Amino acid sequence: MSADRTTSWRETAAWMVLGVAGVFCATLLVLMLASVVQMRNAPPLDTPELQALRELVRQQPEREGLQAQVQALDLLARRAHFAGGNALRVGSGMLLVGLAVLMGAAHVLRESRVGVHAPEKADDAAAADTAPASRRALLGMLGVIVLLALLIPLLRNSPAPVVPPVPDNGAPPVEPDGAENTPCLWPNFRGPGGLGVAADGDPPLIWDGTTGSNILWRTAVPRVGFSSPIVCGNRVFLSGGDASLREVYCFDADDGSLQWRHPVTGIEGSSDKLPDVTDDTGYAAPTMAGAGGRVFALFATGDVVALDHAGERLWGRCLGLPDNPYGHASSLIAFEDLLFIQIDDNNGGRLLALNVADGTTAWQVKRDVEACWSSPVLIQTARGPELILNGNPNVAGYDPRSGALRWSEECMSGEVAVSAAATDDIIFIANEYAVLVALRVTDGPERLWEYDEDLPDVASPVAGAGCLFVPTSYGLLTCFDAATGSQHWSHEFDEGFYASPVLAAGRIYLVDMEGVMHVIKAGPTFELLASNPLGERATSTAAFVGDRIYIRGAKHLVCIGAARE
Amino acid sequence: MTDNDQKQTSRREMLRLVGRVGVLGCLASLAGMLTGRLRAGCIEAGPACKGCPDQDGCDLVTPPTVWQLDPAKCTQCGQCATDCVLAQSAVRCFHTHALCGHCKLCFGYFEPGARVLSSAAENQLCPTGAIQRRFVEDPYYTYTIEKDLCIGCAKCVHGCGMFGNGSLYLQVDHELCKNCNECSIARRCPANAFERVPVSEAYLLKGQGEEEGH
Amino acid sequence: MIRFPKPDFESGYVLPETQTVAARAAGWETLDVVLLALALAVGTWLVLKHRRRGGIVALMLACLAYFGFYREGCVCPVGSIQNVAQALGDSGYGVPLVVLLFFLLPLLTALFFGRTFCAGICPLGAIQDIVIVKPVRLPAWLRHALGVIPTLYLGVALLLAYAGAGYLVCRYDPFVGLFRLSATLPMLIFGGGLLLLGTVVARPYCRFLCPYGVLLGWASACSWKRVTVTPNDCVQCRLCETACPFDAIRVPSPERESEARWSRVRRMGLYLVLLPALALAGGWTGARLMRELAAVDPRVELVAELDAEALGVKAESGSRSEAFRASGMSEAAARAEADEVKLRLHRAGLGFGGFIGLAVGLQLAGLSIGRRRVDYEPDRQHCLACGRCFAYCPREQQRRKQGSTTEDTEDTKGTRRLLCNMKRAVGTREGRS
Repeated sequence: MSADRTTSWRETAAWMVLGVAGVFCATLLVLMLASVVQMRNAPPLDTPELQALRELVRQQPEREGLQAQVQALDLLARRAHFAGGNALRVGSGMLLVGLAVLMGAAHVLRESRVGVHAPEKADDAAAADTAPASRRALLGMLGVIVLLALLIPLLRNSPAPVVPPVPDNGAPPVEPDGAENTPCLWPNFRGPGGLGVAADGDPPLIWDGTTGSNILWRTAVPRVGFSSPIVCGNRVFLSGGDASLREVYCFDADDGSLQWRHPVTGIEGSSDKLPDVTDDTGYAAPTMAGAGGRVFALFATGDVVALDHAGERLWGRCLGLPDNPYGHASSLIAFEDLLFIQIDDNNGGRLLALNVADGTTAWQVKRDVEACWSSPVLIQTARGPELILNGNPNVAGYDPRSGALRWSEECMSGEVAVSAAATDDIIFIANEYAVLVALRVTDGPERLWEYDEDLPDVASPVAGAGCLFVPTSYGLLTCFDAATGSQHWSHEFDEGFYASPVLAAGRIYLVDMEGVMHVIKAGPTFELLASNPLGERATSTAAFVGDRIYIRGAKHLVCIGAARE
Repeated sequence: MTDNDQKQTSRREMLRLVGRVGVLGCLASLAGMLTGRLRAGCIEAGPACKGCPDQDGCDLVTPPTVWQLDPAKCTQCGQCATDCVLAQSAVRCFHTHALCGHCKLCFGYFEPGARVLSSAAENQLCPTGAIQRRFVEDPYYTYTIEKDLCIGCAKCVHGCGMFGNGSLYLQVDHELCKNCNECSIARRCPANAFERVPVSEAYLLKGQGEEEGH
Repeated sequence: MIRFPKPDFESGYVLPETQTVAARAAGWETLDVVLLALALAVGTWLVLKHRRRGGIVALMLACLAYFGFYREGCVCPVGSIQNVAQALGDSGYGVPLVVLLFFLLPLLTALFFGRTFCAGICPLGAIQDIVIVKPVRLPAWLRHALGVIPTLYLGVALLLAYAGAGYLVCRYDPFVGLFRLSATLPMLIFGGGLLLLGTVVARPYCRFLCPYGVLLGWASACSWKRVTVTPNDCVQCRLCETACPFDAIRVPSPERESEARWSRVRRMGLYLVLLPALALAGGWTGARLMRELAAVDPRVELVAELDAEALGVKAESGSRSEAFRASGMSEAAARAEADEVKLRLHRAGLGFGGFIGLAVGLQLAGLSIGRRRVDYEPDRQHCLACGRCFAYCPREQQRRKQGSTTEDTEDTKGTRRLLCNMKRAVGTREGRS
C-alpha cells in the first residue's frame, strides 16, 4: 500500500510538471514562431518606410524634422533587429530547458506505468510468416522509386505544349516525330537546291512585325549568327554562336518554342584557338543543312556536327581552322547520303563530301581558287545532278556523286560571296568587280550573255518567271530577261540587301537590312506589292514553307503567316 | 536436428567472417587510398598543399580545414548576410587600415548623395550603423568596424571597392563560424568565392605581406 | 586598387591592426577524435559487458551534450561519408585526418562489436532516443519498405558528393539546427516533426533515413561480438518480445513451417534469376534520377540560369550569372563543366542504381530463406545496442542479483521463481490499468 502511495505521489507530481512544462513550451513555441514569421515577412532593417524617408531627406534637405524622423526610425529598426535576434536565442535556450523538463516528466510517468510488458496474446498468428508481406512491400517500394524517377523529369520541366498542326493555317502536315522520312522542305540555304525558289505554298503578302499582325510567333535566339533558318518537318533549325560558344537551336514550327539547344563542344581535334572573324560574318555564318532525319551545322571554327531531330549528336568533326580573312561563311548542302562543304580559304580551296552517316570523308577535291564566301548550289541537268561552285577565278560544276570536275569557266574575280541562280541548265553567276554571266552548262559551258553593271556583292540573284533578279548591298534591285540579258527594270530601295531574294508564289520576297521585306511581282514590269517591317534588322535569308515564312531578325526568329481565325 | 543447426550456425559464422574481412579490407584500402594519395603528391592545388613550400613537403594527412572567403572573387551580392546558418552571419566586414585612404568622404560609409558629411543616420550606408568614423587630422578620418553590429551585407564593401581603395572586404569570422561540413553560404555563393583552407591560414587579409596572386 | 594614397599623418596616428580571432585550434579537433574513441570504447564495454541501460543513458546524455550542444554538430560521422566520397571523386580535395577518423572509428567498432555508436554516441540518435515515449510496433512489411529509403538516400548523397555537387546529408540534417539554436524555418519544422513523430515511432531518422546507419548496419551484420538479450541461455519466456522500441528483436521461428521447403527454394531461385533484371531496372532508374538531381549542382544551376536568361524566360539576370560574367570565364567552359557533372552523375547513378537493384533482389531472395531461429535475439543489422531489452530478461535480472558474470548456473529453480514473480507483477499492473 505504502509503495502504491509513493508511486501515485510521484505520478501526480510528474503529471503536474508535465502539464506546466507543456503549457510553457507550447506558449514559448507559438511566440517564437510568430516572431520568426514576422521577422521573415518584414525584416526590420532597410524597411521601405525608412528608405522612402531617406529619399525624402535627400530631396528636401531643408525640411525641418525629417532628419530627426529618419534617425528615430533607424534606431528603432536597428533595435528591433538585434533585440529580435537576442530574444530568439534566449527563447530557444528556454524552450530547450522546457523540453528537457517535459521529457523528464514523461519518462518518470512512463517508468511508473510500464515495467515489463506481458507478452501479447498467444500469437501463433503473429509469429506467422511475415516474409510474403515484406516481399510485396519491397517490390512495391521498388515500383515507387521507379515511378519517382519517371515523374521527377515531368515535374521539373513541364512538357512543351503540343500544338496540333492546323492544316488550313498553312502548316505542312508532318509525322509526329523526326523520323528518317521527315521531309526537309527548306533543307538548306536558299531552299531546295540552294536556288532561292520556294516550291509551292502561298506566303502572306502583308504583315507588320511592329504591331504583330500576321506574326504567328517570335522567339528570342540565344546567340547571334548570320546563318539562315532551315525547316525539317515541324521543326526549324538555326545555328548561332560567339567567341565563347557555338550552338544549334531547334524551334517548334507551330509555336516557336525552343525545343532544344545543342552546344557544339568537345569535338575531337577542335582547337581552343578561335578564328579571326569580323563582326558582320561572325562564328555562325554558314547555314545548316538537313536530310534523312539529320541536320548538319558548320561554324567558322571548322567544327561540323550532325544531330538528329531530338538534338542528340550523331557525329562531330573538326575540319581544321579555315584561314579566311572575314571568317568562313559558305553554307552546307546535302544530297543523297553526302554532305558538301566548300572551303575556299587562303590555303587554296577544297570541296569536301562527307558521309552523312558518320562524317567520314567520302571524297575531297582540291580547288585552285582564292578565299571566297559563296555557297554550293545543286541543279538538275540532262546528265544528272550537278554541284555548282562559284569561286575566284573559276565557276565550276562537279558530279556530286564522285566529285569529278565536269567543267570550269574562268570569269570571276574579287571577293566572291555570291552564289549561283539557275533555271534548268542555265546558271546565272555574278560578282562585284567581275561580271554577270549566263552560262548554259550542259554541253560544256556556253556563255549566253554578259552584263557588267549593278553587280551583286553579298546577296545572290534568283531566277524565275523568265527573269533574273539581282540585288545589291546598296539597295538596287535589277530585273533582266533570263534568255537575252536585256534589262527589264531597275529599282533603288532606301536600304541595301544582305539577304538573298526568294521567289515564292510568283512574287519576289526580299528583306532589306532594316528588316523591311519588300514583296515585288516577279515579272518584266516593276510592281511593288508590299513593304512589311519585321520590327528588327535582318540580314539572313528567310525560309518559305507552305504558307509560312520563317525569318531570322537581329535577335529573334520570327514566323510570318496568316493569323488563325 | 541439433547437428543440422550447428552446421548451419558454423556456416553462418564462416560467412560472417568472410564479410568482416571484406569490409575491413574495404575500409583499409579506402583509408590507404585517401592518405597515400597525399603522400604521392597527387593533390594539386587543394588545401592540403596550400601551406607547403613544395609538394614533397606535403603532409601525410590533410590538416583540419576552415572556410575562407576570397575577397578578390567576392561580388558583394549581399547573400552572405542571409545565407549563413547563423541568425547573424559569420561573414563580416574586415578593414585593412594600411590600405585605407582615410577619406573624408568615404564611399563605404556615406550613402551616395549624402549632402552633409556627418554621422547622422540618414547619411550612413550601413544598415546597422556598424562603422565608426573618427577624426584623425585634417582632412583624414579613420573608420573601424563594430564587429558585433556588422551583419555582412557588403554594402560598404561595394562602395569602397567601386570608388575607393577597397580596404573594406568580407571575411569569415572564425570566432563565429561553426565550420559546417557544407557551408551554406559557400553553396549559394554566386562567385564561388569560398573554399576550404588549412586552419593555419584561416584568414585572407588584404595587404598582408605577399598577397595571393589572384 | 589604390585610388587614394595612404596619408602621411603628422599627429603621430598609429594605424590599428586588422583584428582577427583564430579559428578553433587544431588541438581541439584532436580532442574530438580522442573523445569519440573513448566514448566508443566505454559504450562498447557498457553494452557488451556491463549490460546496464543506465550507463548507456549517461553516456548518451554526455555525448549529446558534447558532440551535440557543445560541438554543435560538425563534423559528425554521418556527414563524413560525403567528405570521403568527394575525396574519391575530386583529386584536388583531401579528407582531413580528423574527418577520416570520424568516418572510420564507428564503422570499425560496428564491425567488431555492433552499433555502439548508434546506441549512445551519435547526437542525432541521442536526441531522438530521449523523446521516445510510447513506441508503437511497426509491421514487418512497413519496416522493410521504409528500410529501402536510407540505402537510396546514402546512394544519392554519396554520388552528389562524389561529383562535387554538395553535401545533401548535411544540408538536410534535421537536428543540427536544434543543437545550434538557429535553424531555418523549414528545417526547424522538419526536425521538430521528426522528434514529435519520434515519441511514437522510435528514432525515425536513424531507422528510415540515416545513410550512415546503412553502412553501420552492414558492418554490424558481420560483427564479431554482438549484443544479446540474455546473458546466457534463453528460457523462451517471451518477456523481451515487446522490449525493443525499434522492432529489432527477432522471435524464434515457428515450429511448424508455414510453407513447404521446395516452394521457398523455387521462389528464391526465381528471385535469383530475376537479379540481372532488377539490377538493370535499378541502373536505369539510378541514371535517370541522378541526371535530374544534377540540377542541384551549382555549375549546372549556373548554366540553367544562363539559358533562362538567354531565352528571356527570366527578365533579370541572377546573381550567379552576373558573377559568372564578371569572372570572364568562357561560357563554353562553364557548359562543358556542367555537362561533365551531368555525365558523371549519370554514369555513377547507373552503377549505384544497379547495385541497389541487386541489393533489393538479394534481400527478396533472402526473405525466401527460412532461417531457423530458436531463441529471441536482436537482429544483427538493425539492433541499435540501446540496451533496453536487458532488463526484460529474467536471466539477466538473476545475474544482476547474484552479481555474477555470465557463467551459466544450474539454478533454474531461481529463474523460474523470478519469472513467475515478474509475470505476476505484470498481471497486477495490467489489472489495475
